Amino acid sequence: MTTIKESKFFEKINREKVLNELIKIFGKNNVSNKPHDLFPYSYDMTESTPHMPDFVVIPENVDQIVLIVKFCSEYHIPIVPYVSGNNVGGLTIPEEGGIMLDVGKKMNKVVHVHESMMYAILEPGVTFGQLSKYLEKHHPQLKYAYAFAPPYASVVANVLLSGLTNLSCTYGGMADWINGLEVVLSNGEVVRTGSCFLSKEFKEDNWFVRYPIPDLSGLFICWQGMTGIVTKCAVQLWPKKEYNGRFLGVIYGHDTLGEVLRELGRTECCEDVSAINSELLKYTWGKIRPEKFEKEPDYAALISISGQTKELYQAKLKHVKAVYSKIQEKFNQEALFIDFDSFSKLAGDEILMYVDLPSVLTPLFEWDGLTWVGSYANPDNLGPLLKKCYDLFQKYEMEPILFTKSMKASHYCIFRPITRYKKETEEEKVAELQHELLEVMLDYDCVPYKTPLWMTDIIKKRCDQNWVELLKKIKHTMDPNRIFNPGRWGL
Amino acid sequence: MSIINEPEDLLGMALSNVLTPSLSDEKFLKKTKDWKRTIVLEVIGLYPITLTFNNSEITIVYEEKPKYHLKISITLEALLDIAEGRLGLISAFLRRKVKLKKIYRIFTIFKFRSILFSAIKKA
Repeated sequence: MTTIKESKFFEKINREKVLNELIKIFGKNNVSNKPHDLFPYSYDMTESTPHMPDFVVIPENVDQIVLIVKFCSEYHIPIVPYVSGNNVGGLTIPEEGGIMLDVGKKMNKVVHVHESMMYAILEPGVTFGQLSKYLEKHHPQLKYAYAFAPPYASVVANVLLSGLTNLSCTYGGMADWINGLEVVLSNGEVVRTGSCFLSKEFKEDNWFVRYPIPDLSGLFICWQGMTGIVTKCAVQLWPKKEYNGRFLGVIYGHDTLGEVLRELGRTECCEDVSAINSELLKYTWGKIRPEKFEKEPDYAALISISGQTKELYQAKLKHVKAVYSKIQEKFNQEALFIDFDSFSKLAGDEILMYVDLPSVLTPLFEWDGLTWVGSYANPDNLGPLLKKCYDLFQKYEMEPILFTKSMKASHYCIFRPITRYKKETEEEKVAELQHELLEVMLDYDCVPYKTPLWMTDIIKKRCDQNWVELLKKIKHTMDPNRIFNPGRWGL
Repeated sequence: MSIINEPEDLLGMALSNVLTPSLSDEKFLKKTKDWKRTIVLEVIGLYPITLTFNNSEITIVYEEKPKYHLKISITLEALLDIAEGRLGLISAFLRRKVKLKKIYRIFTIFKFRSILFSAIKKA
């Protein structure tokens, strides 16, 4: 149930005055306080408690954002940045009311693509689908990547939260691909981080690297919008490769998967190595809570390989197959490693949704509830972690959906137990399951991402208390009036 | 013609998925008309399933039925290669990618090959 509480800042300024100021900055057509306009901003698809904002505004330039930030600072009015509505973990639910800053509608330009230095400067509203189309049309030699999310998801929002992509096995999380940021600070100053700091004015051609200066971009990465409003972000692009193939590995056993994922990542021959449990494949064919038979495989590994030349591609494939076979031999299993497109002839075209980009995994949206405990995990712990989490799904009689991915040559991996559910009847049970999953994952050193409030409360109790104190100090320094997405991480 | 049960296992579901589009195809119906055969299909490294053709009905079950007319054990790779026309059934057999039990039922072998692989091509 969406809650409506009188926001605290109305003690300092009345609702009408705020509305008038917003209209002055953004124009009448870009401001609303009508409940039917505000409602879509009050919730997301996860179990996070909805909360109504007081206003929504649609900015079209940085100057407007500077004005709203100065105004909000004066009256301590919360601002929550919002892009495409594809949120999880309550990241954009306005915990303390205030103003939704919907940057997705009009601040969605690809500002510049530097062909030779391979980066793009983006406004926050640019989506994965949009960037991909833009590059295909104007820079066909370059590519970005796709998140494990629909094409209408925001690139910058995912980058700032260090999401994963189909190229993460090679290049790591998306935050590693940031060259620089433009940010509006709580006092209304606009700052640029990364190599672009060298020029006093904005230039398009100096956003090529983030180091070796102090990494001020880090003040805004994975901070969930708590330290400033990012208005531009330079992301690294990658050269397109001519030869590409995608393959399916059939896996029996949690430990086998752990080893396959880690070792294939370490070959440095794969663009992507990820895996899903076999029940998820059954959901593809419309099965609801199907039985898992004893002799069925436990997981399907999805492997992408590419090469600039045919010889390079074939050499990579040969090596990956050899490593894969060796692992299967160790576990006394048949090495089933097949071309995914051929497999789709047998399994049906629906199965291609797992490898066709952008990913739109319709089985995940069977009901109105979808949530997960996403984490960066230690690949060495993956086997026992998969088993424990699988057993928890069984305990709660929920459909297990387990997703995992090798990151950056297996320096780490993604582990994400996902729950699809009926919000009306299963929310309580799902909340309990989520809590148990988190405790198990923390026991195995998983580092959660896109964290909802209940999760950060638990993490803060278990973690290094000096880390929490430093977090508080930085938040207070960056945002003394608590206007930027207040309440996240309990701050 | 119809598949009278809804398979719940991965292989059974995949095969059901492959056969379903052909069930309304006249050529396919002609091939399976009056055909009563029980065939075990084992994908090596996975598990066996049993397909029973009984006139206008097909059942696919997650088990190896002890009484069958033909048992085919095949690697997944060979199954896909045959389906895509990269490999012939005989050639796969000679290369030991396919093993057949009750090999003397030569008409059953060829009829099943024709039914399954034409369905895969159509799917």
